[in-house]
Amino acid sequence: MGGLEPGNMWVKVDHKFAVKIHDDVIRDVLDIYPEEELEKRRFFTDAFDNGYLSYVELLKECESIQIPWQMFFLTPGNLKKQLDHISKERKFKFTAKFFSKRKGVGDITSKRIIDRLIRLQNYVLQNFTLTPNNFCGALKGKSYSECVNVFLNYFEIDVFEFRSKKTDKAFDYLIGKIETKSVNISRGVLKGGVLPEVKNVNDVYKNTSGFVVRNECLPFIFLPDDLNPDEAMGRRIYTLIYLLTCVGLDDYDFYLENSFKASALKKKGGEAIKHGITTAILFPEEETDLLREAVVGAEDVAKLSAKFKITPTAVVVTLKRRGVITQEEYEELLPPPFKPQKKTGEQHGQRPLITTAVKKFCGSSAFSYVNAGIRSGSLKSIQAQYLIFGHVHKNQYKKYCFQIGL
Amino acid sequence: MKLLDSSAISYILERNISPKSEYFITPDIAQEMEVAELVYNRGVSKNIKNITVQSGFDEAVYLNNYYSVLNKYSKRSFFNMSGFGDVSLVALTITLLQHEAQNTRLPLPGFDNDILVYTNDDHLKSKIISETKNMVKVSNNFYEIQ
Repeated sequence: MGGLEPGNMWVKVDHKFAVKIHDDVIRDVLDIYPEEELEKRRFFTDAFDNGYLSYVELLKECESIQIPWQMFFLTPGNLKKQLDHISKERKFKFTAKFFSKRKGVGDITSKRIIDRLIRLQNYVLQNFTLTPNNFCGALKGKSYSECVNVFLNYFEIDVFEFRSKKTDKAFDYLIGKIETKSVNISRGVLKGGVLPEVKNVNDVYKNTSGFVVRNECLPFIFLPDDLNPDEAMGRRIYTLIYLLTCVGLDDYDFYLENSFKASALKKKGGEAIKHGITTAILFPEEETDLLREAVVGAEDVAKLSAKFKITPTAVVVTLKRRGVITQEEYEELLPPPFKPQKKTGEQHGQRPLITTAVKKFCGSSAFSYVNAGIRSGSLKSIQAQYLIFGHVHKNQYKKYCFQIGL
Repeated sequence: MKLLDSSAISYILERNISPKSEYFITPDIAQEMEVAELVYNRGVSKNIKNITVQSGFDEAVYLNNYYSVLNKYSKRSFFNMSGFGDVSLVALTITLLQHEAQNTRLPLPGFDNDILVYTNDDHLKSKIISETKNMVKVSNNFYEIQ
């Protein structure tokens, strides 16, 4: 086969052997997202078995796995430079000074999502002049009640309006308020071609935790949302507020290990303060004080959960922490783990607009900046597609341009 | 033979020009052009053709050159996904000169004439001149495109 040395394979086009590429390059490219186990895909196992792959099929495969095909054409040395660059960007953004999450919520952090958000954040920061976000660090050194006031005033949140809504609408209300104050909230989406829909990827995403990436002008919060349908809405609200307290305290106490498992720094007290502020915002102490003389039953817990938009578990844990209920009452009231309602049959609802999916994944601020770049022509179409879809997707982009009025 | 880069394509679309003579582009430029057509909401003339799908064009040789150029120059970014149009055009000019040198005639219009690349990108210009040892002309006189 054209003098092929071991450890190499041919790229064939028009029945001709065109380019000799390195097996290790293929493996290393596929290992950019090891959690997705791309190397096990039939196309690549066949290629390793046969010693060649078809260029035309490679292009199709790369569309599915959302990796630029050109990466497979790099020499080992050049690929290493690219991988080092990606790794450096990931480490820079996800060191202890820049990254935080809720402890115990999802151990895995999808590298693909990390890379997408880094790319988006870098694009915005490198191409637009932003002003510092005054909420960053605004909760430092303040009492819980002061934190509540700062939070509600800064984001202009009307607690009565928030509580009057159904939980899902209350979540949307919070996101709307927070995003208008230059906090970018990116949410997991499985529609609109925004993330790849390949085998086993959904399981990876399902375990991806919510997290926040520091920036003094435009902090980026990621919430798994649709990627993890097992998460109760009340828990999503709690996670969102918890991550905002990290921004407000300017306290980023997680880091990614080499395996990209998120680990907490060994620091005492930080986590308790964040939970304290979060519950002070969502479930004020005045409200729990009213229950000190009462006998709290499961029905009360359900009512409090519905009123304050947190899970029944969070209600019970908070009551216990504040000494409203005893250990025995706590154990009795603690509800079984949340079981999501199974969807009955195929959902035949209208498919969401592509712009809706993109806006949800990118976050409102990043979405606006990307669109500004597209409109002004400063952002080339291929770059724009990589920012919003993570790969070239001409049909989706055509619809997207139409939907944003281009 | 006349080749176009993405800046020339934008020029054509912005001015709604319908070239009468034939021009060739690479797959990377074609991909950018397809999206630009959407943005400008108009198609370019059928006289602008993706060269790799023309009969007689040896895509295997082109891909081999693409591999070499991709690995030779650092001014392309996988993070921003930029610079690949340049890689493809340099690879194409090298491929066309190889066809000429080997006397493997391509049944394409203008193949017997000089190769002329339209671009206003100075980096691309210098790469083409250096890789082809000045055997390919590069022009930013877009007004000549007609």
